[in-house]
Amino acid sequence: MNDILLKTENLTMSFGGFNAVDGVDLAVERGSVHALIGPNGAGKTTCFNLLTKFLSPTSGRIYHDGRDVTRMEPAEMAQRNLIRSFQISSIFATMTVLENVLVALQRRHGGSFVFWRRSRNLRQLEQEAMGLLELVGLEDQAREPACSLSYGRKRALELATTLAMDPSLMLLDEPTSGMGHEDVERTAELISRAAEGRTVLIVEHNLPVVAKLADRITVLCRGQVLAEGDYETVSNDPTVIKAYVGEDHDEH
Amino acid sequence: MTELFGIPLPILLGQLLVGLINGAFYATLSLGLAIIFGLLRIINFAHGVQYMLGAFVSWMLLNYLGIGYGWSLIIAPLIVGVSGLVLERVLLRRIHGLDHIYGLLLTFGVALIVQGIFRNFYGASGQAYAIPSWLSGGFNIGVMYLPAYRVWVIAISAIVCIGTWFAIEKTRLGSYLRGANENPEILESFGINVPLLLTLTYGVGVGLAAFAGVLAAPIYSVNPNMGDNLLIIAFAVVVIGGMGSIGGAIVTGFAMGVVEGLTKAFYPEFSEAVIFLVMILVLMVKPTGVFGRAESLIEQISAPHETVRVSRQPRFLHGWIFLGLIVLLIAAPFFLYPIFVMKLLCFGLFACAFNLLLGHSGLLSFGHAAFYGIASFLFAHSAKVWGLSPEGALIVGTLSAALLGLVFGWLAIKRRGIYFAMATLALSQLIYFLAVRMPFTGGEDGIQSVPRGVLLGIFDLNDDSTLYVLVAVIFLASIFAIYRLINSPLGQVLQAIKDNEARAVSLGYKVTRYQLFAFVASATFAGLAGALNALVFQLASLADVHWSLSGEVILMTLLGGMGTFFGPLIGAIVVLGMENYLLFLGEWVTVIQGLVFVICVLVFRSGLLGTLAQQIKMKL
Ligand SMILES: Nc1ncnc2c1ncn2[C@@H]1O[C@H](COP(=O)(O)OP(=O)(O)OP(=O)(O)O)[C@@H](O)[C@H]1O
Ligand SMILES: [Mg+2]
Repeated sequence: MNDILLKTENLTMSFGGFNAVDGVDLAVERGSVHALIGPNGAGKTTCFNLLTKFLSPTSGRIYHDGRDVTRMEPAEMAQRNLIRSFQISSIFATMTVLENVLVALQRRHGGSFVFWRRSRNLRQLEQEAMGLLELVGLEDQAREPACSLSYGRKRALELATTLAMDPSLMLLDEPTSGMGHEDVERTAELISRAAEGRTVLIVEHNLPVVAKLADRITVLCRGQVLAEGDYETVSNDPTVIKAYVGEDHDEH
Repeated sequence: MTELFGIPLPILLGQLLVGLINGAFYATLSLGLAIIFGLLRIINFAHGVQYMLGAFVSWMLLNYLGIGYGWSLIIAPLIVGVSGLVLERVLLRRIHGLDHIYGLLLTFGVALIVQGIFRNFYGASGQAYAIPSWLSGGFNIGVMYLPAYRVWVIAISAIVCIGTWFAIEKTRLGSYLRGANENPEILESFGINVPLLLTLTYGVGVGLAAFAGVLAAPIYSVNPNMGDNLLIIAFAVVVIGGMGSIGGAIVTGFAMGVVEGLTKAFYPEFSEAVIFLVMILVLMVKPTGVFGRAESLIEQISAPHETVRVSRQPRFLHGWIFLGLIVLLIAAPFFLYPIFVMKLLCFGLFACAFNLLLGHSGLLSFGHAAFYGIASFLFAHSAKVWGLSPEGALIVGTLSAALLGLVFGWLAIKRRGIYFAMATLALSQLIYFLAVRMPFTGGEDGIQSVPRGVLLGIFDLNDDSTLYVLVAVIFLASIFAIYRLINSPLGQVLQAIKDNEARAVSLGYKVTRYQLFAFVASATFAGLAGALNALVFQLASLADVHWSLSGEVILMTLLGGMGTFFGPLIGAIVVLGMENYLLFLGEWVTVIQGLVFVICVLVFRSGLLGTLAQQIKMKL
């Protein structure tokens, strides 16, 4: 009855004997917002790197849309319309804000091998790009160099570039980290709107945001799945509470 | 007489011995390179001159101080090693954490300085160093005569290599070294002085090169250029073996020596090229190198970025600059020698083509002389021997460069970053060897008195002004084409890849395809520049394919400003002007070029025009 878009079987990533991801079975339902949470170093980002093929798993399999994609190239994954964002803000620093989005649109609409025309002539794309920038509130800074933005605004730009790809599956790694309070709300709002008609896998430390967005939550700890379910189930699970408290203990 | 595969056994064994000797040098040098790279993430381009220094210091010790070979084996590596410590402390330390290419460029500059100084004092001819009496003579083992010194070289190198390997892989020290690379903070918290560790490591790597130099002194002539070829071969060995593994560097070094020696026995004409051919094979079959691990993309995610100051692209400024360029082109022949202006144009185009790759795609090719040179030779050959018209010969030359660019690009782009620079250098050295060997290039003489011919059957290019117009028009058209490419949608993608490769991949860009396109375009225009040069000077020579030309074009780009479009043109003018007007300084020009390199990398990374662009806050 449930339609699984992304699935992993016994996914394991070992860095010199240390299993950062350890036998994870994950199933992301089509059309849902699925959150991946867990204490620092739990292996969430490593999971993302595996799912987007930035890393090749030590063992285990990954299926996207029913197809085994375990050995695929990262760019091919993106061409299957699975687009990620990064935990550390990831933009094209020397290009303008507008050009950042244009480069993404260009990939989607084709024409990236055009070398004889001036890139300024891409008017139709420019309109679409401005629309996306408005969505994240960056329309006034469109002509600024991207590296001049504040950290939170860079994250917003990254989100706009991700949305420009019109992805069917979005993987967002802590999209609100480094944002001010207002931006967090605005971004959460934006993600929940963008999630319509899409599937989203999100890593997020901000639990209210998770509670608001996620249909289903997987808790990761030391590379393993600790618990899974909706927010209610997970937040009342004693092992989850213990994992978080235990981590707090370590930190202080 | 005993034979094996049709080769007399003594000859075969003799070549095997020579192969092992060379292998000992390859192994020691690539071991040093691997140690330095492993910790400092620097490709030590000064490794060749440090090897040369080892030989020279031992020669000086003997001739000036009467200190013999035995002591030299210890003292010379110590002296050169200490110079390495100073170099690391004073210069390399300053660029720690910057993009890897700066380390390569800085050490390249240092190499030029040292080599220039030694050429000044000792000329290019070699000094002899006698084999010490206690190692002269040899043993007759029946099938062949074994010279004692050669056996000694192989044995002592093997011992030193294995000892180093043991110290790094099997002791506490080694685990510190690995830790310093991966997790310097943790190591510091254990009370270990990481900066000191880096300095000492560099010193040890340099000392190894000098040690090889001392061993080499009695075998080869001691001369300022003795390290050049060896260094490039060591780079090839490193690409073949992969730098991740110390043991791998040693094994690959010895193995390549043996392969080379055996090739000399069976196909002597291939022997110089065989290591490069092996490298090509490895790049095709296992691009990460025999012992290498895949460099994963996630290393790119958190790659440090130098803070960038970006200026806006003013609407009409570039149009005015192009207009100014046209005016200059018209005026220049009235003030300067037209031939000199045409030389400037050829090199200006070459530098712009090169910067399409370095400045606008983030790829450092150290082999662009190959494209310039092959086009120069094929232009000359097709105009002189085949009797092609100038336009036909220009097309043949340029297309040959494009084709070579496609092949080299396809091979080298399989490796990232610093390996890419080494692979392109090694590939271009293969072309150099071919140019030396092939009869049609005329060897040392080159192809001389190439006819200029009549363009399209109408314009006689023997007239200097007609030729000037042609060169100026081709120059302008090419510069404009490159400008267009950089500002096209494709250029945007290249820029994006340069800015943030991981992000470009995550948007679905197959990065290597775009980089290959840029590489081929760059090679094509570099070839056009080389063909034009041959047309102007009616000459194609080995200097056109030599790696020092690749170094020169890098210097032009760096000096002019690799973040700019017009900078390389300025760089070309300054560098050529320097060579032209400082001719009386002889080899000191090399020293000055080295100094310019060092200064640019240390304090002037934006280059001339880049600095100006920051001042006026506009893109240039
Ligand atoms: N390339 C790597 N090499 C070695 N170890 C790694 C590598 N990448 C991650 N690790 C380790 O794997 C573990 C999981 O890291 P990961 O970044 O996936 O955690 P995370 O859940 O995203 O944490 P955070 O909430 O801090 O982002 C950490 O202990 C980390 O040190
Ligand atoms: Mg993370």
